[in-house]
Amino acid sequence: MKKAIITILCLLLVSAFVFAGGSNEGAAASAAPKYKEAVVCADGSQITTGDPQSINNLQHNRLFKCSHNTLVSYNSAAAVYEPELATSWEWSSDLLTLTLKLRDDVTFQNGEKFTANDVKYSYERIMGMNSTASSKFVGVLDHVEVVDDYTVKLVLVSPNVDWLDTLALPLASIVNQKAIEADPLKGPWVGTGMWIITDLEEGDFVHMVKNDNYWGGTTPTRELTLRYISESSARLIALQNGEVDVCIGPASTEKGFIEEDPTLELIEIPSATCCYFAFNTSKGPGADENLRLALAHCINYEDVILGASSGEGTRAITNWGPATYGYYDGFGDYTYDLALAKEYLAKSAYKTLTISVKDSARLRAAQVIQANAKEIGLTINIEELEAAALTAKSAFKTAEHESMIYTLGWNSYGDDASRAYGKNSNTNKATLSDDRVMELLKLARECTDDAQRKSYYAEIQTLNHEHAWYIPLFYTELSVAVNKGVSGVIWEGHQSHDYSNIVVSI
Amino acid sequence: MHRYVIKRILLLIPVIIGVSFMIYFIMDLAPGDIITQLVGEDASEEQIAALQHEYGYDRSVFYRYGKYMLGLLHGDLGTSYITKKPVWDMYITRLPKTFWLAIGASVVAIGLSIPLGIVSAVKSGSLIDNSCMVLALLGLSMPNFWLGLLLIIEFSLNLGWVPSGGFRGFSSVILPAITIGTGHMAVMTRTTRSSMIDVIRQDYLRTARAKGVSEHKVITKHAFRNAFIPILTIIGGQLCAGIGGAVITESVFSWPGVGRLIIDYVHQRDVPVVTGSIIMTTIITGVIHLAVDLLYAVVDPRIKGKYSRKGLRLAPRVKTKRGAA
Amino acid sequence: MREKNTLVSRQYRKRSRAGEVWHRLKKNKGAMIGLGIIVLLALIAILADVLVDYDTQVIGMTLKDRLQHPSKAHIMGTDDLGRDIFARLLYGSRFSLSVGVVAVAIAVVVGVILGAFAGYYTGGIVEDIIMRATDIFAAVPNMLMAIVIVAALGANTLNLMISVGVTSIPQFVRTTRAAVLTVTGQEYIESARAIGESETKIIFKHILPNCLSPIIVRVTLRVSSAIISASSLSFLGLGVPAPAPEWGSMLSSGRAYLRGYSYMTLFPGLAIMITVLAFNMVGDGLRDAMDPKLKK
Repeated sequence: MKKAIITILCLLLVSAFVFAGGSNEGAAASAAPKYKEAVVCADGSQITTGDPQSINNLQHNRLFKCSHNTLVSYNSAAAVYEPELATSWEWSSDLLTLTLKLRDDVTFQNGEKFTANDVKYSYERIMGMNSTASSKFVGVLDHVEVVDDYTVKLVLVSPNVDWLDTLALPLASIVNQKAIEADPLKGPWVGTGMWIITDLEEGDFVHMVKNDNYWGGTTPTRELTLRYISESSARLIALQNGEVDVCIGPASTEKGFIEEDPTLELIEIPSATCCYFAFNTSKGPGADENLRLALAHCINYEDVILGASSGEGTRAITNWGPATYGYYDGFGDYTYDLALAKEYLAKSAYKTLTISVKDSARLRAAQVIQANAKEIGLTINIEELEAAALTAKSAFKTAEHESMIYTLGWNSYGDDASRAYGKNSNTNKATLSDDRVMELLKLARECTDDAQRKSYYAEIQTLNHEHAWYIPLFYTELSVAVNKGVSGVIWEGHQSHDYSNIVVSI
Repeated sequence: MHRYVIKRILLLIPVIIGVSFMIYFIMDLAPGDIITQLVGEDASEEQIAALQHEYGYDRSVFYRYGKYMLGLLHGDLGTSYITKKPVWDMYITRLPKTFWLAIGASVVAIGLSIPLGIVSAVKSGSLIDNSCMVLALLGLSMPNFWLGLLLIIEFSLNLGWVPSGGFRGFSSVILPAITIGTGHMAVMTRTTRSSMIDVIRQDYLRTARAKGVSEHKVITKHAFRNAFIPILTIIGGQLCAGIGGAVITESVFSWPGVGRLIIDYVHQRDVPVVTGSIIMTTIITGVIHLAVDLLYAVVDPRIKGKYSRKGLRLAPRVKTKRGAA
Repeated sequence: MREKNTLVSRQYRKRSRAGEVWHRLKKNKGAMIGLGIIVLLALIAILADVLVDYDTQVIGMTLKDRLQHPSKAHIMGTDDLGRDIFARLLYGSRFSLSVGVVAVAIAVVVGVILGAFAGYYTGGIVEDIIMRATDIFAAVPNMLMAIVIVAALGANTLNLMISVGVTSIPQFVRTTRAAVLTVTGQEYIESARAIGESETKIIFKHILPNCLSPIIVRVTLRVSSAIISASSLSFLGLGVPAPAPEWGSMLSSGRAYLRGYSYMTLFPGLAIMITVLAFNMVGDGLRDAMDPKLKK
């Protein structure tokens, strides 16, 4: 009996070697690299629409970078603007008019030719849309002039050095008038990009096939699917199973599984996302500078990073993107000093503060801060709200929150600061309307001198440090788990990765 | 019979009106404002005013509800504030997935609990009976998300038998169906057990036994058939619960079902999507209940007579001797 | 005079019936184990303050001790913020039990009163209004209804209880109405009416006490599903606010750590499971004990 088993085992072993050898030979025979035909990327946020102009968030931006094109694009590695649908551009001397020359060899995915009229149609459509996207255009762009089929003039309301950045955002993608008029729902899906959206099931996936008539090159991948998997554990399991090739944001505690698995790779991306504490400075306890400084000096920042993101993050000194134009941290950090904090608190009339938070990482950060504040006798209540309620509660004009923890993904250009500091901006979670800050933002927006512009931004950050409207906490660490064969993706610190040239070698 | 069906369908109308009224008002009056959601970060006052007018937020909630119901009268479930898509389209792409999951869960629940119920009824009072009941209760008491992830780790990651999530054909239904189905087991096993006990003790079974019919046949054929009506009610109820979607299981398995559609849009305060989806759920639930009631007639022909004679009664009610109060 | 006699004999009958139910219940091992667990849990919940110190043990955190596997120092390990899971679990019984019990209490009070009126004034407009309103509430799936209510009211402990309670009302209306219908026709009610007792008095004094058994069974079973609903809502972030150690939110905070640190979800999961199991076993036992048909 025993003998029989051993014989069988030996036979199995031998056959395994034979088959393994055979497959090795097969691989050697086809020397050219082989690529997967269908690639799947998974993310924890869902895609709800294929209309690039109606929405402006990470997961949608990733989609629109595949399906649509903008006139210019920003190369964050080289920090330069690059031509996309425009071949060249020129500012007028008063910085009010931007004239762009367009490519003449581009067709839309429905066969229509791309001309200057499409630019006019697209930008006018954004202006009339009344969406989160349109606010980037309304009040900035005055009108669009078609000079000839391949030349277009954009006339601005007031000088804006950062206008090219807006044009590089996926929300400024060029769409096709005929397609939209024929089908208002699916028409906006038609772009000039490398990938054609064929199927979009909300809460599930977006499926794309390659545009064989794409003007800008080709890729061996035939199909690209973006899948929504909300639970991070399930997302990583899908990657380990080979159901997907890219898994955005694996849980930090599960990174060990990625390292263990020889077929997977962990990509760490320098992050532009800052997590910070924001007081509502317009009323209540948040209006009291002593209370704000007391909290700034009693927070144990290392513990916050440990609690909120398992220690994976770097302490932020200023509320600004690390790679964003105008970054300045010359004033140093808030020292952890309980005696000093108690001194500030003694001068404050308030002894309690409510923090409003939404998701789990911020909730954990809030709990650590709650425990820290207890040491100096400051009582903190945590209010957990859902996204919609929190957005409404902290909207600039009707702000009712006392304080909150917020994360902002910083773009690379300077005027991005007006999101956090500008009047009426709903991401201005400090409800800040300080005159000097507003003046500085305007000066910087209209200034072409590099050193001068940077000094304006440095002053804003210094003011913030002195008054502690925002207490910067940490920059989140970004990681993506991928199948080892994945290449061709442009990974971005602001997380709007470009998948259009993704390939997976096998 | 026909009159009964028509009457039952007509009776759904007031329920739909009531449900739509309740949900629309709760959602509309909830804190969190759709306009801020829509225009986002840096909208101007004109933009906000224009949107408020567009969605009727410059008028009262009654106006908005009236407008919505007028649309509903023409068969229009409304248009999403956020995605601008017709609610009907959004709902109908989710429904089949929810439907398969509900069916799958019922199959799992039936497959597990009817045998368990019969065994514990036959061995009533014994250790086997008790263990069966505890087993059934375990399914109910285990939090769905926990069970779901454990199943994914074991059967999808370690064994690689089924996909980890999403709606990808038949095999992808298995794990979420088990997760939900085991939760339904407790009630169904208990119902099966008690109605079997009721039936087993009745005289005609004794007669059947006396006539020499095998015990196995007595239980499966004679007893079970008669015990089936209460079980059918439970199955119907669980199908209905399934149609409303299982929020937690759906999110563990990335299942694009109705439950997640509704909770996603509750969070975003998209009143038409939430109201419209819940109205559809109500209608489908009503139809399932009706179908179950009609099935009674198939299982037990005596009931058919009741429907045609007293076709106007909602359900058989207990008679009372009382006159006017 | 005759009326008094029937009342007296009824009182006697009732007491003996309760005794009989208890006698039968005592024989049911499952129910007694369940009852034991419930009593133990209730004791833990009441004595939570004595057993653990809220400030230092339950919400006090030591970040350097985070995510420690069960050991002598922390018999159930520590969570992602370095808090002792055992201490949180003990204290959490307070939230989970009280949410379940209060939610069901809300449902019982509202549901039984409405159900009693609907059953007593059968055939009239009162019944129609109550039962149609119940149909409307019951038509919306429980979990969705609870989510919509919490979303509208805001997430906190009280609103959690209200939303879970409101969704349980229809069951109690229906159960009570059915029970009242069977009792209303009986003779002693007729006689009470004949001697001119007020309607409210008849309902509350004569009818309801005789409808108790199905309601009690329903209550026990409903507490367990209320605990599950509440922990599901907490799991979705719609429950008891942090840092309070509600079992559902403990479970939820462990979801990201399930693969490497499964004990973070194991213990709260087991706690919910055992509690629900206990209430169900008692409920099932009561049902059997109260149902004369199942008598041997």
